[in-house]
Amino acid sequence: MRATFPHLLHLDIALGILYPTLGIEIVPPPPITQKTIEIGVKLAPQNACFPLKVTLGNFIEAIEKGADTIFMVGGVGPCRFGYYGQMQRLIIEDLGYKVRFVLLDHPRYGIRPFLDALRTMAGGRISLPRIIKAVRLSWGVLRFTEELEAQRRALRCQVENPQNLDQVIDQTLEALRSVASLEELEALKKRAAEEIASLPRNGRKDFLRVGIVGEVYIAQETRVNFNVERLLGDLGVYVHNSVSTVEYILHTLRPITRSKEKIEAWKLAKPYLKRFVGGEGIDSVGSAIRYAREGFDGVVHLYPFTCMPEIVAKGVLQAVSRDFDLPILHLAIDEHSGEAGLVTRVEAFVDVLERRRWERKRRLEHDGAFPWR
Amino acid sequence: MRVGIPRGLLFYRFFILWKTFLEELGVEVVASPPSNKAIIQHGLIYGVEEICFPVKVFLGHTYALLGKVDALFIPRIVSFHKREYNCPKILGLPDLVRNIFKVDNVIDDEVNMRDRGIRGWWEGFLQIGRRFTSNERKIAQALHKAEKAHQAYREKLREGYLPENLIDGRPPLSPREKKVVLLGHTYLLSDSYINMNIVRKIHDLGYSVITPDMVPETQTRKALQKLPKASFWTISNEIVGTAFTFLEEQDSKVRGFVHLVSFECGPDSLVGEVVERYIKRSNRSFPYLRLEIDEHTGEAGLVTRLEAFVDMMEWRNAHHAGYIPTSFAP
Amino acid sequence: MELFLGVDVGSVTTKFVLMDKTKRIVASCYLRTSGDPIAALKEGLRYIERHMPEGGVICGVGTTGSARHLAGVIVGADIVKNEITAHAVAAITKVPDVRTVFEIGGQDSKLIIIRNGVVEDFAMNTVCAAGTGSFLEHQAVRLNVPIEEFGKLALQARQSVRIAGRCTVFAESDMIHKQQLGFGKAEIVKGLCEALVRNFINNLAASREIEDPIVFQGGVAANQGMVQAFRDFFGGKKRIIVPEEHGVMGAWGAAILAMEYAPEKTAFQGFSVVERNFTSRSFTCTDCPNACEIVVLKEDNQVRALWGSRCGKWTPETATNRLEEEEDTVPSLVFPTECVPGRCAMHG
Repeated sequence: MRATFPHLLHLDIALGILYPTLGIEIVPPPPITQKTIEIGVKLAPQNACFPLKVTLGNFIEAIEKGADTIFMVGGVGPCRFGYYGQMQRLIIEDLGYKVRFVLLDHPRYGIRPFLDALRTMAGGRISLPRIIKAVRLSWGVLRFTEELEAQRRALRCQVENPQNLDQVIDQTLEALRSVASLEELEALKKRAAEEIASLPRNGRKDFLRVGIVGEVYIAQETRVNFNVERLLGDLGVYVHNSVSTVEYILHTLRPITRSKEKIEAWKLAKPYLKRFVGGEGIDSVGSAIRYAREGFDGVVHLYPFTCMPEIVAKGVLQAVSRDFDLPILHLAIDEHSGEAGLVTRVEAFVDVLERRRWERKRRLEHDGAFPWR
Repeated sequence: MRVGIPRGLLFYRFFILWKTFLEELGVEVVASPPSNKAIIQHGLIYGVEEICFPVKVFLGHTYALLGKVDALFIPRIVSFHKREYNCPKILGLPDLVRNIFKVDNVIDDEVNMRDRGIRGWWEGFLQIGRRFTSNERKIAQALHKAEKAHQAYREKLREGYLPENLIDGRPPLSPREKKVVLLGHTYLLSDSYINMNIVRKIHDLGYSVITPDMVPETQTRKALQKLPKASFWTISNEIVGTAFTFLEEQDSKVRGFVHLVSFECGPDSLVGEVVERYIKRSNRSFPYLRLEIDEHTGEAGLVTRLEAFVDMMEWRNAHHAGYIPTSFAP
Repeated sequence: MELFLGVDVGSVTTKFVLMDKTKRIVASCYLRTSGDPIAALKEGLRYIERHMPEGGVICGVGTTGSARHLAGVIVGADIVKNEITAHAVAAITKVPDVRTVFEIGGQDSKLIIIRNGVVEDFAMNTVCAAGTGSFLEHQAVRLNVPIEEFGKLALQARQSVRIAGRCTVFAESDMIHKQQLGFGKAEIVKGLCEALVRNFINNLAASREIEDPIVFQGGVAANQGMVQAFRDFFGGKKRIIVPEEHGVMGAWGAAILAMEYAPEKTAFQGFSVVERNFTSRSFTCTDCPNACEIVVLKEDNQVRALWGSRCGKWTPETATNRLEEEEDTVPSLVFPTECVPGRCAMHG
């Protein structure tokens, strides 16, 4: 068995550690490129959402590299993601590829298929302690990749030379691929922290702060969202991303294992969006309100074009923006998005934020009051 | 008290039920008028730009009721089938309406049969009923009566009537020998303004339509088992089930499939593809036409496609031999 | 000699084909509609009249294209057909073993799948003009390249630039952006052709199997750059045929359909039509909230035909009266929200 799986930022690093330990040979898809997107767009239904197309492109490229098994997860809806696997299986079948599609779906669609898929994904006869050890290590690695990315977003506007920051983080990510034990992971964490701390700072303290909310794939996967966070960082903005794969997995396993921040976000969203509408709709609304309360200057809302939960969130976010006086930039991403237009909009958005801050400061000096509250 | 029900989305499915239920509780029910240009234009003005056309139509109908009623009736129908959902836009509909029109008097109680089945159904209506009376017995009786009316309505639909015949009393069209399976959500198939009178147009071209409403649920559910995993959207499942029913039945009167979808419909973007692929895989490969409509759809383009589709069906059926073009009608 | 006339009135161009009983084209012309289909029809008829062979008699007329009904009334058609069927019929006549037809015209594009000489499936562009000839033409003007030179220029490019965009507006802004990055005209032109091919395939061919031989027709098929872009897209593996009649295939198909229909007596109005005075008028019916726009074709003061009424209550007589009424009133831009009692035919 040569298994493959879809990309989601650094998920391949974590799975690259998990699977070999379980005795499963993996063929990670090549990194997402324009070619991946073109393959997906050509084969997928025209109006399907963008993540389906990109992940389909991943599968095809991996199959061409020699993969014969595809690992994918399902869902219970109402977001389309839960049906990706079925759709992609149908498309790959019709193309005539002889591959095995292992779909881990909710047990409510049959406990047998669920256990079968779980058994296949967990490898052959391996002792439970060994599985637990492998899962713990790869979970730690996944968490660390997200911490590194969070550092990259936060520090980009604060270090003297962002290239050096990229270098440190990219090298650490590369080194993570060959981590063999939790001790090694700890050592790597320490080293990275020291290296990042030693980077010369530019001493700026008055940077703008922007939060990212949106759909779990598009808001994270910098290779398809035109790396909006890097763009913002280069414009001197401190960026925080409320979306995370770790959170996503925790929520899927059990809502109560979520972090305090997310639970708070759900509570805050209540007056605007009373219940779960699928995907990350309610998280987007709640996180935007959290950013507003923490004094962020603006929010960027990233989602795939035609995404159902996020469109509901968009409608509601307009009211949030009005009530909290929080500028929100909505960016719908798909294969037709042009980089030039996107860059212009992001730059203009940062200009708006800067102007607002400047205006606020001027009024504060003038009247000595906070007129915006 | 006057309660307004916007004529859109689940209206064509549940109007009789809602109306009977509310009237039994002594509430005056007002439905917005059938779609027209003014209503659609207001929907386009108030809708979020990327939201699908049917939701914009719904918002237009909501606008038409503003100021004319004491409350808007937009229950949050999370699910009306066990283990399934409605689309996220229907789930978030009351929130959209409240935030877009800045109104508070919305009856938005949740009806959710997903996890708890019929209990979720009853509790939803109980909550709605409590807004008008504290007498639970009365609510139960009203719901019972409403369900009976609803069943009679669904029965009529299965016999071949369209919602517009039953709700607005428009005369039904005469049946035709040859049939086309017209797939799609009821809110598209039943609103003859936004679908540009497609049923009539198909009728004029010599075919009767079979819509998902005309197929018994037991049958669609059985046909659906062909899929390894059905989707989690109830109405989409009915559409797929209807298509599969006629794929297997080999009914010689059925000549083709037309699927009417709204351009940005999420569920249909996937299940439409499933239907199309299964039709292509089947032995008797039926002609299949997907018509996408939204606010920009021109009637001329729709007519051209339909005419070409009918030509294709006749042509394929006769294999060129007895091919008779449709007669000239200016 | 028995002759058949095919007329294809598209939104951008109007095509005429005069065909004999062996389906051979005797005369054809390709004109700009220029927003005035009536004038274009008259001009085409004059051309056909001049090129009528000695002893020729028109025995059947077919019309197609977006203004097929209008053309049908004015010229006097025996059969009025949608352009998809007309294009398919012509392609099958030209290349009997054709399996796929690409048709790219001014305002829309079509993909027709044919198996065993029978239309199996088809698709028409739904998104917008980003997959059509108008888009190319518009960009040619912007780049200051004559549209005739466009294809030749594309062939000169050694590389191309990728131009993204769902619709014309976005594609245009992306093109300008690429221009500002310093790419040459030839590269941009090639990039535009490739963008159009990509849009065409993604919008129309999604999940459909493209088998060759492919017949590429429509006005855009004259563009060598487009033909090359399609060849490149398929990696040179598919046979693409551009018939010499590519521009008038729709009209040819209409003529063939008219012949197959074989009317006993043709409805053809004769070439004297060019002398008659046709005008198009429209008014908005405000009797119910549908607010239909009624388009009326008038000959002198008499209404010959009308379209656009949803309820079907308008007849040539009532429309004539209504038009006269409207002469004195200023049309209202506010649509009614309720039915006018006694005048609404749909809502009782």
